[in-house]
Amino acid sequence: MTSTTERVFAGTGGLFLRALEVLRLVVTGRFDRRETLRLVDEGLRDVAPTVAVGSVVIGGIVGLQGLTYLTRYAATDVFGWAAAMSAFRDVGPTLLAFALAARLGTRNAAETAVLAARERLDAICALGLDPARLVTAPRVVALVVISLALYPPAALVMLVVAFLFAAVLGGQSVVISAWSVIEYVEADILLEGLARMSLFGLTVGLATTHAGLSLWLSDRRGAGDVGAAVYGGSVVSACGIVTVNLIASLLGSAG
Amino acid sequence: MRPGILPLVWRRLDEVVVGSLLLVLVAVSGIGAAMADQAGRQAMRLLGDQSFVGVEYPVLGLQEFCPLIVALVLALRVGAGFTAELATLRSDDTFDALLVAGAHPWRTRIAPMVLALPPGTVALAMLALVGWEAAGVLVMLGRSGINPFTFLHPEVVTAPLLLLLVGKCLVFGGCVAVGAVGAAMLPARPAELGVTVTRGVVLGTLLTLGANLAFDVGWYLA
Repeated sequence: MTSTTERVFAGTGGLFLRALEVLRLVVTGRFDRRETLRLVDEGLRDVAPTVAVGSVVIGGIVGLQGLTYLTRYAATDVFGWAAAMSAFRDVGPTLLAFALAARLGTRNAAETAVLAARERLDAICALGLDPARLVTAPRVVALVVISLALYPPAALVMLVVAFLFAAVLGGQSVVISAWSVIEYVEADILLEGLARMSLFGLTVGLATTHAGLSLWLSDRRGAGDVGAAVYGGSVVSACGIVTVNLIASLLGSAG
Repeated sequence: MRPGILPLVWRRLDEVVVGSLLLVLVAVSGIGAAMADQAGRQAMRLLGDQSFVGVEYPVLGLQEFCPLIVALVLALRVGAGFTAELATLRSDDTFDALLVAGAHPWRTRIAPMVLALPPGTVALAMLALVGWEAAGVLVMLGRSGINPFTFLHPEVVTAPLLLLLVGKCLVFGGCVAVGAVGAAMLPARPAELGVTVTRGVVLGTLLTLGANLAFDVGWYLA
């Protein structure tokens, strides 16, 4: 029986090799673009309602957090800036990544695990095709593209909802909030947020695709094993999001 | 003789708390460290003073991030696990077989999960609070040279804030349980186990986020 430490090292090593495999295929352009586009289209339509609801709720949370400090320190002028920092870079992308991991990450792990469990990957190999080009790389790339595509509208919705909450509950002027964003928030913050979201997408894509593919070479291919792969992918995604967030915060600007 | 429900709840509680402790500590400490670092650097840049970060940081953890991050991690980890377990029982007809055999799967399988999640979330959030504060202390010491004794402000941990944390955790734990059980009990084909797990995690996550917003609005208005 392997210990937890052995499993963690084996899992990390496997994930690293998977990341190198995807990187090689993306750099050389040898992945299935049509499949990638199909996954992006399907994923965007699938995740849009979850992200819309999530953005509204996260915007409310961001607005209420700002409102607490606004009331305590009478900081009307900087509310917009603080809300934008939270929505665009600090809180928004992190919570959005958790929502993305919950919706698309689990779905990606489940689909990949089912492909492995039903011997579809064996069939791809039998046809002389490369599963890494047809399955692995398109899934990881699609999750990064979806994350990037969702970030601008989600960040905007979060900010607008935060302003509306502050206006309705705290009487904070929407005009002053908007002025504060224009005056104090630099474009770099948006780029940092975009970079974080793409890294979160990459983390979730790699973790969940790898978890699903872990069934391929094992003899455990039952329904319960598919659930276990989804569960494993979720756990690694959560750890990955937190680690990437911490590194990005430590290396990022002060805003 | 029917077995008592308490040992079953206790076993689930062990699964929720002990099984998730490491992941919860990593998640809460990681997010806490990032928050403390950003707050410290922004305070220094804008005000040239970091003294209020130590006062506000534990409040932010108590009021918002410890319960929320713990619940989101539980939705991803325990929610997915419980949904997968129940959905597997349903898909291979074990659940119906247990019903027919009079083994009371609602009492022996589902009730322990639902009863264990809320107190488990409270216990994890309390432990996570220690990780949150320790992460803040370490980051502020390492990045800004702030003395840990200057940064620590235990006096801001008041009874109403602790009550809010407990209340949030109890409700969030319930949300994760409702998401898992609700998704698993919906009709699904065996091949759709992955979809069912996804549904359980998403439902738990969205319910938690919504409940958090409702709590925040209520707390602000109060």
